[in-house]
Amino acid sequence: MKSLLTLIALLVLAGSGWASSLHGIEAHDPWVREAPPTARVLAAYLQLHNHGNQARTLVSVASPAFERVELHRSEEKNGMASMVRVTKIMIPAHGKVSFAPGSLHIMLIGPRAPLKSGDRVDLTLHFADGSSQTLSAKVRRGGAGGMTHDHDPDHSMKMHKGSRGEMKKHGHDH
Amino acid sequence: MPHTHAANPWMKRIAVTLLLLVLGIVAGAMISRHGPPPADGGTAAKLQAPRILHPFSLTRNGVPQLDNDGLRGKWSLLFFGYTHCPDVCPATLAELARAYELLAQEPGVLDDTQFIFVSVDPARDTPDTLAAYAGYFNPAFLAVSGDPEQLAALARQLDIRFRRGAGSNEAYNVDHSSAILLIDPQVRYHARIEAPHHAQDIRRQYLEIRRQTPTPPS
Repeated sequence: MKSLLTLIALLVLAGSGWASSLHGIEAHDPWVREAPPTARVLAAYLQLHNHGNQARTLVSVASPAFERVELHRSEEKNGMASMVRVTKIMIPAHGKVSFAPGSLHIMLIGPRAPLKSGDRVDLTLHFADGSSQTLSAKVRRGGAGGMTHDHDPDHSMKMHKGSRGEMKKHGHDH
Repeated sequence: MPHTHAANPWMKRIAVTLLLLVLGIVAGAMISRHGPPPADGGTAAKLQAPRILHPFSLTRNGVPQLDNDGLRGKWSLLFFGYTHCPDVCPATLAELARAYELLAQEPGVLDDTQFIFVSVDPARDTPDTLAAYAGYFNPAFLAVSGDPEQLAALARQLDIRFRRGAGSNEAYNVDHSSAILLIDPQVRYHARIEAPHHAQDIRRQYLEIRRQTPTPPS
């Protein structure tokens, strides 16, 4: 009985740790794709989880490591890739928004110094309610899947079983 | 006694619920660290009949960059893009670089394979910028550009479209087709791999097409 009470007490204590994030935005895996040293524009990605009961709206991002930061979405229409600037992104209550390669991304313009894998970049998220949140994003190499695939068994598994990736059979090999 | 009897299962239930919550959060964090699954495996389309490329030439200030002869005798993987592109282009080039590594494990394949990045933004992408940019992904990657008209003439033959998109003077975007084009050693437009691109798919699709194509008499 005593141990059970202790357990509950511990859990409540542990719970109070995430109670603060219960009403806030939690950022998962913020990262910046390492780019050639001469690159003028980079991209950052992350997932934003809204643990609160109210929707939150991201209106801008700032970073001391760049001259300018914008929010963009890559779109693929009829095989043509284009980018659309986004001025606000709503994160629904208890919902999540993913910034990922080929889709939503934080566009980092004009790096003040070349960045390489392992460096860290501060990103400050500004929300419509006037609040802001600063997080540290790690610079790393990454492709379309968001990471180098060397240690990504899930990804290669998906690749092997994916039938949509199969070559369009010539149909009639004449 | 009745007190403990009542409290015990109740507290147990709370403890179990809290435990499950914590486990759920940990599991959620672990899953999300792996990122979203790839949207699609990507598809490759082989042309009904390979299409011979009409004579084309890309030059910078009169200096030849690429023409039909530059594609002869090798399989070429072409990708059109620009260096001010933060998302799709570096992602694709990173996947191509990974595909190159995978192909290096296939005996002889890289001997007659070249990767070429074609910039559709000659105004900002100087030859030096381009070489440094492509070389970062893989030193063997070629990077070329040309006059807008020359680029358009080549792009048209490959069903590639590009146009200047939104943005101010310095910071404009260029919309562009994101397919990878496969040109065979006889300088024929042979196949097209549509985005999203993943190294494993590029490798598999390219090798499959190679296998199906008889070696031309040299």
